[in-house]
Amino acid sequence: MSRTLSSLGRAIRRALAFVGNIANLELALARQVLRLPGHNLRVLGRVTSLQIRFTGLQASTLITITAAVIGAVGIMEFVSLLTGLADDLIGKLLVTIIVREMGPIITAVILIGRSGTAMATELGSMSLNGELEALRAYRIDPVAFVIVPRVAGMVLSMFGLIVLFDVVGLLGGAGIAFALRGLSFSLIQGRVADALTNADFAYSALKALAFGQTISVLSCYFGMRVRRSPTELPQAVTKAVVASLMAVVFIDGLLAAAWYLL
Amino acid sequence: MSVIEFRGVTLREGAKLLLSGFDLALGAGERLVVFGASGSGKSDFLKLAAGVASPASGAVVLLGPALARPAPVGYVPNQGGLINNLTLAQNVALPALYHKLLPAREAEARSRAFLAELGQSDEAERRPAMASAAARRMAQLARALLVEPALFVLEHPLEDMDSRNARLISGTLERIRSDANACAILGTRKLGPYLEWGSRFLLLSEGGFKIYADKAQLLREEDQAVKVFLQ
Repeated sequence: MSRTLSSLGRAIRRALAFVGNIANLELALARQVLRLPGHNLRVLGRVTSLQIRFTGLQASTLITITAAVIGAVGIMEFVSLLTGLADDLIGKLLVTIIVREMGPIITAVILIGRSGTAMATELGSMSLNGELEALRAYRIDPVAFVIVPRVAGMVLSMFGLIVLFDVVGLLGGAGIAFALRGLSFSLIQGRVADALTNADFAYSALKALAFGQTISVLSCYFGMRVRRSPTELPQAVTKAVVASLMAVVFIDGLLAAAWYLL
Repeated sequence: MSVIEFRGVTLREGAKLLLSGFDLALGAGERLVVFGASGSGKSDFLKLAAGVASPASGAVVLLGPALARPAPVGYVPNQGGLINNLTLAQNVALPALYHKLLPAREAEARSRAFLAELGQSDEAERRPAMASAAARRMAQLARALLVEPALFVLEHPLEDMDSRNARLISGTLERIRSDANACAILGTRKLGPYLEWGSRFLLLSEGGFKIYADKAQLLREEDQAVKVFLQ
């Protein structure tokens, strides 16, 4: 009994320490973002553009293919399940499935697997290679130079990729609706335009900000905790992926609850 | 006036005690050579001096002119320390650009000029992983020189260098020596090349230390464990 309680206590202490560390990192990040005008934006811009190229541009093919398939398959399943569905509901269905839910969450999962892992590995390697130490020696704050550009790059890329996912997913869904029910593109376009509201855009943008920020901060955090040996790298990556997935699902649930309650 | 002071410093690596009750003040124009066997704590001591590690107790304080500079320390670790997604020239210019010590064009031009001076013009546009070990060491030195720090912290700068590169690095060390405003701390396993260069010497061994006020005192040392480093 006492052993169980003691391991429970240890687990709680570890969880609290983790939450405290992440809160500290978020505060340091916020301080550096507020100090941005005082920073050398040319230097930070170079790192941010590298991050956008890797996270955003290089992932666009994967997002395009995934969005087209998911848009088409999702609508095909719904249309076949709800055979009596009124045609004017197809726009609402596309907006709800693609824009509000699938676009952000699937883009986030792809970026966790593709860029979050790369970020954790890169920061772990930077730590092992003495790069973070050298930055500190030259009084270059690693949060400003390493984390701020990666968070900015991830959030901007996430936003761009969600928009890409939405457009391609809607086209894929429209294609299937046309093929299965003979609905013309102009009709579907009209239905989607009617169903889309400014709130949908704001909701998507909020998810891009929340998911992008969370994935990049957690990936950087676990990467920077690598200290001594390359064998720590795979552990850091695994922890970054698990924590990011849990956080994204949790945030998605919170936002969905807020959407329907407010 | 002191540039750096070690005040009652205790240094540990895990459970191992590397240094205890260590006090030392170094001023402008002074050059401390830290020597000792592998595992004696030279690298950890240099990290303390560079401000990238903290002592278990006590304090390491930068003073006077060092405090006024945005990048008071020029740190040249033995390995790593260069940002891998930047070229060597960009690495050299980074602290000067980040702290806005120089306009961007001038920082980049001076970065290339320093690398050329150190015989690395051809390597300037390479990333660290693609450059030779000598080029990486020279880039570290050039980066330190470019910020004109109050304190240089150098780790085994001549180790594994061929004679041409060793000559170029020795030239840089002479440049640091001739700068009356610069203070330097250098870690090494071999004292020979630095006997003339150092103004004070610090032996680290098995949790203990001994400070030599000058070369003459070091050469008078009878302890065989110290003579090994002079061979």
